[in-house]
Amino acid sequence: MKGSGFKVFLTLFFLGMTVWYLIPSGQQYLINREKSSLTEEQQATYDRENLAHMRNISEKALHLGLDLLGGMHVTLEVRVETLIRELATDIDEAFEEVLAATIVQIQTGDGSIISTFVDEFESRDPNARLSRYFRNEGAGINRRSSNAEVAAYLQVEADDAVNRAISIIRDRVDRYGVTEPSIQKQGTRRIIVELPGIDDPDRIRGLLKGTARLEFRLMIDPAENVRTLQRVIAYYEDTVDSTEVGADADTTFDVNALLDPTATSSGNKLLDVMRPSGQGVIFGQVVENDTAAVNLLLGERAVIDLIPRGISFMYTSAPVGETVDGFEVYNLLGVRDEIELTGDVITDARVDFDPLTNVPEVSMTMNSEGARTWARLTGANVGNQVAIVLDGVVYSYPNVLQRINGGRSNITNLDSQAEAQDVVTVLKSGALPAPVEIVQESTVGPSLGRASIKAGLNSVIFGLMAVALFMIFYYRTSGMIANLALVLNLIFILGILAGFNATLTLPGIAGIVLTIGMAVDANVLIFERIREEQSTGKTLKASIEGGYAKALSAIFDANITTFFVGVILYSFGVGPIQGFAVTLMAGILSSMFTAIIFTRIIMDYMVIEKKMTVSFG
Amino acid sequence: MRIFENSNFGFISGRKKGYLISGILILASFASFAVNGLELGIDFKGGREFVIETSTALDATAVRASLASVLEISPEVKTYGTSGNQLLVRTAGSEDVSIVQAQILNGISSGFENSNPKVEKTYVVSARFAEDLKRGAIYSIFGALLVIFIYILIRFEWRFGVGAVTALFHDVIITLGVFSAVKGMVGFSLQIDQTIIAAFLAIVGYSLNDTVVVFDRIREYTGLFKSESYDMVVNKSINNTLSRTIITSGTTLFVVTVLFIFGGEVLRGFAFALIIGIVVGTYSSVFVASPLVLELRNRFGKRR
Repeated sequence: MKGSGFKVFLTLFFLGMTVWYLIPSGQQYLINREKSSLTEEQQATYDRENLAHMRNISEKALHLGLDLLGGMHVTLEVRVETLIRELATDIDEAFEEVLAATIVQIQTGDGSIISTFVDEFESRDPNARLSRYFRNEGAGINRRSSNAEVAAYLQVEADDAVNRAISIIRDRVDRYGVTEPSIQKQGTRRIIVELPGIDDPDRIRGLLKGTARLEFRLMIDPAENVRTLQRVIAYYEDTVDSTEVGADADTTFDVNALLDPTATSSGNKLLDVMRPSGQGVIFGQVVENDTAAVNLLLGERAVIDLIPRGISFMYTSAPVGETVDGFEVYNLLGVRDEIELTGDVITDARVDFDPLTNVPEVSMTMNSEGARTWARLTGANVGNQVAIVLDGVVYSYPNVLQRINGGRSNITNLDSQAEAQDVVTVLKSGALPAPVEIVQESTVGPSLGRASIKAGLNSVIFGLMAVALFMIFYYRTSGMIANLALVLNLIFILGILAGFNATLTLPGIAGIVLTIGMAVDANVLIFERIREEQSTGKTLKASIEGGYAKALSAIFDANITTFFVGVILYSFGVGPIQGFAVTLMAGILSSMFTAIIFTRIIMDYMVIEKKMTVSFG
Repeated sequence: MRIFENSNFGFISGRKKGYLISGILILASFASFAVNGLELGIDFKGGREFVIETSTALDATAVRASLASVLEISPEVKTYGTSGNQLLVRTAGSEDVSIVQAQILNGISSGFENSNPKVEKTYVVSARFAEDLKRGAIYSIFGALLVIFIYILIRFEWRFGVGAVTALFHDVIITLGVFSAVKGMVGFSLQIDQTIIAAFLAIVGYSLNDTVVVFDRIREYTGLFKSESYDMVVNKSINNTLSRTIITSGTTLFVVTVLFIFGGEVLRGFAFALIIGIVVGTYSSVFVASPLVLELRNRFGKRR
């Protein structure tokens, strides 16, 4: 039994490694079983007491994919194109054209947005200088900076934005409280977020995408508001029917008649979709379905000229009422464009409840600089209204009663305590440097995950049984040896997965099932060869030797090529598919080992040491 | 037990029949692509998919009708799985996912009393991401074929490489052809998505495995039976590996059939592709890859 010593050593070594790597998975299984017999309260205590131990174990245990565990998998993409626009200090039509062309181009490619942008820019005018758009003394970009320098600066900013977005998202996820989240960068601008056990994808979507651009702004002067309203209404009155209104519109136009809430639509395009107000800072009232139409009307070039410079219109977050058929109505408010204070100054935020109504709200504390500005702002605007704007929507616009010292303010009119909690989370983690978009999302409910685990397990068990029975039936004793190898093979695959920290997904289990079927192939090749050798009249010992030796090249070539396919599948596949590729590769490696080395040890032991006869069927 | 021991079929003398069968199958596949087409999953075209569980079994067509009025674009609704109370709703469109999800839930609960709809699974892919996935899939298929060709080139010679890769194209085309032909006739999804691409690569790997074993034998016998004609050598190689070919196909077919039956809804299309692929792949390593090596050798040089 020469040479067997080393083979035995190798087998024991790999088995030892596998067991070592699978111990934490076993421990985790035992803990879960122990926990399931406890009450919910006891479970919580158990979790508290064994937190470090449990975290340590679950880090080392075999990871299950979200398709088995249940949870949410999200791929986010940082909108670098928006960042480019924000970094630009001067924007003209040519710039907008190049940016638009860039956005079209990156739809169909995965190249860097920055280099696409620079290439596009240079292809239009080889002599044009990017520095004129991105002058920024602080970053060292001046008039003489070369395009390459500007591109490098943009790239640094973009990379930084993605990295900051990752840490902000990690912070938000941690604050939300997900067990064992995973947040990873993919490529140059994508972020993969994996959240096991999430059952409210809606809330997570908002939390991940939430930019939380908190702004404090002053509002339109009420008199100006009424004048603007009159002008805009008159404009649409003119365009609808210039002959009728044209004659007396300038002089005797009666705004009070129009403001009469009982008046029905007059054929005026704007009044069809908005009920005018003019009270205080309220421009009008709009039904939820009509907001897009109103935005379009107010965005017309001629209308923009009628609106005072530095004023925009924004909707309130909470509806002010409902139409008879149940649609919600929102106020449209005149807000100044100038941002007096941003969310950057917020140092602390928490959910509070209005002492009178018990409605949830968010109270915020500012840093000293913010507090100073806030005090000056409120002091100078006693009697006026201040808009608290979150992501382009006015949450509240309180009347300033007195100068506010100490940097306190709050956000009211929130939908629910959950929303208040999310606003706090997003505010505390800070604003995202650039908007992010969900480009891919998959959520699997826990019961569907459990069903998948069961289906996968059944497939493994029945697959194994079918193959094992066949092997015994067809090859007798040697078939049993091959079956031993098959079982060892399964244990090795799990060990490899745990050792390399790979994730077991449902396609991964499919890969294991497929491996069960294909793994016996190496043994089939060997056994068929041995039969051929036996039929030439060789002794059992010589046939075994010859069979193993001659089958080797076929086993090797056939498995290497399949292994390559696994490598390629792994490099281009995403998520669960990679899980399939991993088990396929692990299966090939371990099946080659068990079929060639392990079965040989047993054969040699039985034939040479014990002088037994091994049947090959 | 032994099967095909000392078999001596005339695979090579009858190879023209094999070419005819393969030719007909490939033509039929292309005809099916033209007539029936292939259905791309949302992995490759973008879209949203929701699995909705209801407390009562609902009729998919009725749900579709009631959702058509609330959603921007009329959705596709199917029964999902075998439990009877799960529905798959697939819809295109550009509005926010959360809004679509709410519209679907509201639509079902207001249209069907006591249905208690609840989202069990969502899958959303944006058009841009789908584009990337599509590119990844194409790269992986052609990358795999290229690497295989190069490896066989190094380990065998170019005729074997061409034979093997042609056989792989043959397998993938015919399996896709079956997908296209029976589309809509079976009770499970046959959309081409990432999982199906993985299945195709597994088929490629499997069929190649089979082919390489025969090639290995041809390589061995070419040196061993120098006086015999190449036709004989190839035929002998196929015959002498036949029992192994059948047994391995058999065990692999066992397990993928098990997967098809027990693997659940997610893996049904995957297992179906593998079942077809293993049958076609086994056939092609005997009737396409090895005869092609012979043809190439007859036509281009007689190097031994």
